[in-house]
Amino acid sequence: MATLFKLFKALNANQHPSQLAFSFVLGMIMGLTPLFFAHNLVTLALIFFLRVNLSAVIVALTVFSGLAYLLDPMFNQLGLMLLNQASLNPMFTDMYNNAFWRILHFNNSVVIGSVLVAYLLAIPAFLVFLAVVKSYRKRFLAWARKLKIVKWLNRSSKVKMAMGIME
Amino acid sequence: MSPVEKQSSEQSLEQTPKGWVRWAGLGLFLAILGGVFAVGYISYTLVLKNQLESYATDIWGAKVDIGGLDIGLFPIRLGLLEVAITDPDKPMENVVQFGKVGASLNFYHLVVGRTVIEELAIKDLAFNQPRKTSGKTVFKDKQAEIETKDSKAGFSIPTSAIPDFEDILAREKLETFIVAKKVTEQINALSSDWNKLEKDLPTQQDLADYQQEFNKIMSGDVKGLQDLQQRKKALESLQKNVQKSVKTLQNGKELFEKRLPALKNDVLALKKLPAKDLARLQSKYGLSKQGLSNVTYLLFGDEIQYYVDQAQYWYAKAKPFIDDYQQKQAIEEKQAEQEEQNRAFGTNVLYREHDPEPDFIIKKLVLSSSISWGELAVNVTDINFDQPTSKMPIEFVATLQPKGQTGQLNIIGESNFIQSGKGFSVANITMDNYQIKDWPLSDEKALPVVIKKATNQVRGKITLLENEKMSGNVNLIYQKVDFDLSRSDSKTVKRYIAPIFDDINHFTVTTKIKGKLFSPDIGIRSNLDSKLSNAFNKVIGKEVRVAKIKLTKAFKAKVAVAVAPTEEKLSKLLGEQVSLNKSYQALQDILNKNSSEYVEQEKEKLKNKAKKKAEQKAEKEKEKQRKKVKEKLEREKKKQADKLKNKLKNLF
Repeated sequence: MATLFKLFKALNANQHPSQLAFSFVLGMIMGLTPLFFAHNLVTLALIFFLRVNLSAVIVALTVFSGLAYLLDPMFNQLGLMLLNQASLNPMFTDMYNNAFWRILHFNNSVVIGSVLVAYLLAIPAFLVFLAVVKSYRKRFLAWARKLKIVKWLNRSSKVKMAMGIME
Repeated sequence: MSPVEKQSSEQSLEQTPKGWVRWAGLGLFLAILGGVFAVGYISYTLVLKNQLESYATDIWGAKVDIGGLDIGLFPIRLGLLEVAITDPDKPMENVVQFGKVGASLNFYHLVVGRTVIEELAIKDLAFNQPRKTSGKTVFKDKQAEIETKDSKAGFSIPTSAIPDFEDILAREKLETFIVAKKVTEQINALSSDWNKLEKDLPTQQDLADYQQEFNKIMSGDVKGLQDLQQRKKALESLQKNVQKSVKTLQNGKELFEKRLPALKNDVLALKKLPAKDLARLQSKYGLSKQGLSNVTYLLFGDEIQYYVDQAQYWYAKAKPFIDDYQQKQAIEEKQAEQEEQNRAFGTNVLYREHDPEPDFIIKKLVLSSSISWGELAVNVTDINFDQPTSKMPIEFVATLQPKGQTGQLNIIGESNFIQSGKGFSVANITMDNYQIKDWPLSDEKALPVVIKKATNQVRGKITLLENEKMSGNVNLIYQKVDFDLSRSDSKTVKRYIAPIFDDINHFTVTTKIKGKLFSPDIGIRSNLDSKLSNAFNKVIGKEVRVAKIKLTKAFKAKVAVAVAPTEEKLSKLLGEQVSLNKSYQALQDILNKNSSEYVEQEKEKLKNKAKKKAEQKAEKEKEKQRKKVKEKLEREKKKQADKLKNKLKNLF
């Protein structure tokens, strides 16, 4: 719940839309691909290194992890198709004999399928998330601020205190 | 929100980002990674050292100390420093110790879950070094102790040049005693299990009480339905009690049925072993008809037996490590297989590997050290225990350059287990130009045979099969031999034997080893026999016969001690089984009595009885009625007759 409050706080005011969109993208990558694999170390490093919103990452990770369960058969098919491409076989054979690539488990159909899909979707997803955040702020936030209950909540010192505790 | 606040908020949303890079975050990330790595490294080195020590100590049966670990990353290496392995039979001595055992590991194979050691180098090897503290452990494997017991005691050639029977029986690992010990242990285990069960079994008194109660219920006339119901209740209550006893008897019955037949067979097989062992002993020690002339064994037997014992000792020590590894690997493979089956997570596509290796392999083991015998160098390649998959046999070359000698001992061979069930290890032994000086073959007073000088050549091949059967042939060729028997006090030796030795300047000793690894038949022959046998027969013929009788007697006495108790214990257990079966059958008879059926039967009986009684009563009633009618008729008849009489009277 605290994460959601933080996310809404960020959505509502204090973080730039592109940073929020990028946070969602990173969460999406982690969520769509198998979590405890070496490639996610890069994503994790980016989360630490770049100014992203952790709550947005967590929410996206949770949502896309659920989605990944449904998409796993598709990732598996895509990965198998790619790994069994005859023209790519020499390249994959070389990679198979290299410790770095073996650490990344590139030869697992779900890993390669999901990584490929997640990274290909990264740029379009960034643009979509950016548009969504902007649109949210422009339309929904303006409409929500006019609501009596929101105005009352904004004025209420008790609610502010509760939000403060949760933060 | 006031219009001013709203405007300022909207303006802030359109501002450029505050800055994308968070340097503190990067620092934190690196710090966490570094911390995880450091903690892992420290705990790994500390834990691994203790685990290795305890694992090796458990399997070896005496303390194995590791001074420290040397772990490096670029390239990946693992080294053990100051390794000291205690002699299980001499806890204050290290049977072997190394200054350093260093292994360089292949990173790629480590990543894919294999232990591929490119090179294992052993430095500063030393044997039989004293320890400061005792290396004894409490859990020493007693079975291993029996199997590997050092027989260094050997036997010296006694005054009469006949091996002493007590020495023979003490040094030989006779199958009879090994099997007898095993069978005794099994019988004791069964007896112990039986004794535990016996406490819960019904006593003879209990059985008699059950039977008495049963007879009481079943005997006597049933006096009516109420009596019958009471009997039914009593029978059911008795059966309930009996049921408990039957359950314990059933356990005992199963215990015997499961383990006694195999034991009976073992005891039967054991009975046949003494004859085989005795024949082997007599043949081996020259006490058989053919063996009387085997002088060679008397002279060289000790030495050869010592080397065979040593080989057995090291084999027995190495085997638990190999067995343990293979067991663990089998378990891991099974688990991996199950894991593979349970996994609903993608497919691992496999490609051709440039350097396929088995799960565990030491590609090269290099050992070079200066030991008391001379300069030792050992080179072993492809040490792996999954040869059916790897198709790579273990190959080894060992050379020993004895001090002050020009020739060197070479042992070249392989351990090939590629074909499952047909595995073998073979070693070819060669040595040239070994100079012997003042070598006492026998230091016995009556027959002190010394080779003053000779040149020795060794050619041999020893094969050990997967089923632990071995065969071997080692030829020791002695040339330019100069014997010396001048130290003998015996006139007979000086008169008959010494002159023959004087004429011998070359001979060959042929050793043939065949049979089971831990009780092989060792045959030693040489052309010395033909030259010396006549002379020896004169000296030792009589004593050989006496020794043969003594050996047989001593052997039989020892066998009686080892084998007789097994038979006695087995027959006791068989007796227990018979008695148990009887008790079981008796209780089964009680249990087989169905209370409802019993009630039905008794009811039927009661019904029949009542019917019979009713019929008898009716019959009696009928008889009474018949009698009454008859009497009435008689009376009527009489009355009529009287009436007629009176009428007739009146008429006349």
